[in-house]
Amino acid sequence: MKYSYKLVSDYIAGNIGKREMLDYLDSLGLNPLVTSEEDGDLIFELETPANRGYLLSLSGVAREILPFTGSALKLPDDSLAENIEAEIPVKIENRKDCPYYSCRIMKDVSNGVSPEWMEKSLGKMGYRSSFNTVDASNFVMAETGQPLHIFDLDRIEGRVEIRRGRKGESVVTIDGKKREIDGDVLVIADEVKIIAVAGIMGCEVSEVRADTKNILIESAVFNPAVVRRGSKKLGLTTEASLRFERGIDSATSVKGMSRVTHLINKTGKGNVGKLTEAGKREEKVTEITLEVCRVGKVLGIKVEESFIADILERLNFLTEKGKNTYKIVPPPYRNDIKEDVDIIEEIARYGKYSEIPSLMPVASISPTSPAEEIAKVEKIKDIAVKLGFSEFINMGLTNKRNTGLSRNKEAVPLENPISANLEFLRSSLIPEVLESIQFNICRDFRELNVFELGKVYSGISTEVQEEENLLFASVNSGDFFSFKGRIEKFFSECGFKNLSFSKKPHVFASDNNELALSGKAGMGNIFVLSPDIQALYGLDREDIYVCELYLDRFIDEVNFKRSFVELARFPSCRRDFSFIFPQSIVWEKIKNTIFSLGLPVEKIDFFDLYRGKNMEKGKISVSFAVLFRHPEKTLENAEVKDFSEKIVKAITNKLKGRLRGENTKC
Amino acid sequence: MDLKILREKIDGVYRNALKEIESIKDEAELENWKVKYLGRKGEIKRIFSLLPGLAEDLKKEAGSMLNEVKNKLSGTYENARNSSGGGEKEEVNLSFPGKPVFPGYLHPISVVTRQMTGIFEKLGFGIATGPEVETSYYNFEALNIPEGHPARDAWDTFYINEAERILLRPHTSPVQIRTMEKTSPPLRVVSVGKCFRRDAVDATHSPVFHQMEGFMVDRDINFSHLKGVLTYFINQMFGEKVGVKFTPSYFPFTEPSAELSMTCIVCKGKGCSVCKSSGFIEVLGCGMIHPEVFRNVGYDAGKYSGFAFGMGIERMAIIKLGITDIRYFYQNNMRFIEQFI
Repeated sequence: MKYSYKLVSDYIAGNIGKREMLDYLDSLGLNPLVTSEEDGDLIFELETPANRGYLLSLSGVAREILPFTGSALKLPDDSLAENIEAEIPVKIENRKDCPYYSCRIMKDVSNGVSPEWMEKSLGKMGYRSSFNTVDASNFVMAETGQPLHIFDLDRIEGRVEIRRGRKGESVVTIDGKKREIDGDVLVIADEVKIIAVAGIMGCEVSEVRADTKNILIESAVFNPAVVRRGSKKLGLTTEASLRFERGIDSATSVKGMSRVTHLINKTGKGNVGKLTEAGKREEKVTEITLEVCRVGKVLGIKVEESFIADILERLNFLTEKGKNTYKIVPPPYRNDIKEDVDIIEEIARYGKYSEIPSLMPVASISPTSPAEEIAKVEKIKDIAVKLGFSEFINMGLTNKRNTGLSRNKEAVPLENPISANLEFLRSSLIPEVLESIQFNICRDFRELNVFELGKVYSGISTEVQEEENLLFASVNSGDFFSFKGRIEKFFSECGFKNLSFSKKPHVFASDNNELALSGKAGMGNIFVLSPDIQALYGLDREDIYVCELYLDRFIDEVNFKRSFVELARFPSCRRDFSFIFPQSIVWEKIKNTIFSLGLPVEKIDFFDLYRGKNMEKGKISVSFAVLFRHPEKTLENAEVKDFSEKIVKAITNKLKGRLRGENTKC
Repeated sequence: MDLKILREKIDGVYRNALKEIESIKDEAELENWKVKYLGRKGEIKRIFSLLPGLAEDLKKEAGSMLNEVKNKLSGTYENARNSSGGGEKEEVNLSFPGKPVFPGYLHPISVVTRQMTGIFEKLGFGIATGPEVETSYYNFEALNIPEGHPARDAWDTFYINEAERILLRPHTSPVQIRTMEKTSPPLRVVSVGKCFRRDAVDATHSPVFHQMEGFMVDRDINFSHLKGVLTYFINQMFGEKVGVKFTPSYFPFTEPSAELSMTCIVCKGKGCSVCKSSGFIEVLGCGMIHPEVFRNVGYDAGKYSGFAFGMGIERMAIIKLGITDIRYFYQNNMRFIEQFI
């Protein structure tokens, strides 16, 4: 609803300026937004918090301002005189669904247009004008916050019952839509049909029409959670349901009934029947004890007791003062007040938050938990950046095509997605990264080195596995081995010494190597993107290499601790070798063969692979350098020569390699 | 003759050739140099003539070595000829741009997150994380947002299995509950992570965003401390001159609750379209932790008190970096990412 300065002012005894009203509302955090100004009035909207249902009314907003001004609430006239005996029997199926229900018959009402003031007021609040009877009910809802409903009495058959809907029932609500009803929805029914969806909307069958003469007015309290569930189920939120969801009290209900009777009587004459009530005018009283010292303890500022007492009174809270305490009973419409902090918030709101100082807390130094894994993840991102990779962040919500590619993983769908494009939780980082790559290539950014670190999800809906993955991708920037070199560097930075690769198929790859760390397989995959996948993502013409890592599986072993290693004091001696091997030779084997000889080998650097014209078919030439260094002495030429011979012999015998050339660089 | 001797020979020729060309003064001398080293009876040819007498593999190796040297010297000759126009070495023109380099960049969300957590770490806050797939208990009930309460409308939530109460967290507040369940007070912690809400994508909304949650619990923590810590944060993040305003708000898990606004960065508080002429922009929500939350995690609400706050990372980045559209964060356009360090 919208509010107007003049309409709110009608409920305040005494004068209050426009600016003043807006400033008060602003300082209460209700963020008034003026939408229009007309004939000396201001129309504005408010952001009303979900726990303060009473603010969805003119009198509620007036009450909110009163503590600032000290003026009284001006109650509208609700006098009436019952002059006929007519009554209708009411039955409540379950008091929990409907704690209080009241209704009243009015006969021979003239059902026509509303007076001008009524039409105008409704217009300001954003309501459409209808018959005077219906207008009165809407106006009183806006005044008091109590939703009311007017039925055409002559279209109700027998008694009125408040009950749950039954499976198979359906209604046509006054918006002309047919709706299926079930046990989750509370309805108002007569002996043969449903006449309203309780607390949400009336039905066409009992709607007030131009020829309506006799009416039944309803003013009730429905269970907020039940109304909310029904409203969600039907996908129907109304001015009434918003208010019932936030909670209505029976005192407001009673007031709403007498005021609407008064107004209809005034605008449409007619005879007033007796008030029929079912259920109880609830008397649930919340008594809260407020220790005065708590106010200062929570707010950090000394608040004068006189101010507290004053505010409590102006808020219409019943108080009983004890020794340093107050026993407080909030008015029934304040269902947001449940314990002492709620009252302290009221004191702070009216004392203005700006009066509270800004201070740094005095706290004991408590070493925070090391959160090692979080620190590791950040460091990993730094290393990725250092190696020239830029970070991508994708949503992680994706479509069926993308999740469908990872066939060995059960993708997790959302029950209530907002679009088919964001229907699943991603089961791999690859598809979204490929899409982002394609996005860049379309914008002529063709050379990319990127990484993404994020969660992937799989499993059944009740047991979703969340795994942290890390993905590297290289696009049009060097060959596979320059990419692999950086991945190897990444792992050595992370403290892994033993890295090995073995051939294994992968759904996104043409050629894939599975990665093992310290002998543990399944830590990741490094591969050349398959042509099919490239085509699927519009990347046919790009050179793309990908490394997908299952971070959770090895993050515990990531080690950034370093300690100084004494620099070598004796010179090294390098020998270059070229061997001819069968094409299927695995580099690991060459390396391991040499290391297993127990020679003082510091490192082995691969530097060339040749498969040219002068080579026998099915053979390759592999060149590498071996660096010898002894920790305690300078190696003699003869010793190195001996080492080299041992290497040549081992490779010749164990790996069927044939020496092509040897070179000395000491 | 073994390879070693041959190599020394070749190296020797190469070194001499380079040395001689240094002192050449005119074109005639350059031509003489060419004849001497690359000519039909030049030094290179002379060594080539030795090859036929060698073993087969040695011959191959030496041949490729010689070819390499020959190519290098030819290049040297060409260069010298091209630059010997006036007989003087041409000056290098340093005005041309350098070669481009391509370092890696962190995503701006990471950049801003680090700035934010860094400020709280200075105040002794630890860092925690939690799952993105959450249960309704941690996400709602434990935070004093009971089922059927209209306050739930503020978190339009994606469900994975609503009947079993499994959802994608729409805020990082469940980490507060998880951390408090595991740790006794005193504690001060921030947590950053991805959150999900059923918002359609537009310039200011995204169904996926990041949030930072923070809280501090100890004896004698009060509202003035909430104001003190968050004002410090805003001043560290946006500068000492930025004005900060706290106004009442509502969150089920804090009472009293507040909203922090700061003077609009764009108009400096004068009023513009960004701040809807109010001079202030809303930055974050906060409040004193509700006693019900303490009861839910087994803290003594009479003994301890605390404050909590939550804010959007993208929103902070948008304000801090002047980004105009939230969609940029998830497009991964390199021209966007490489703007920030």
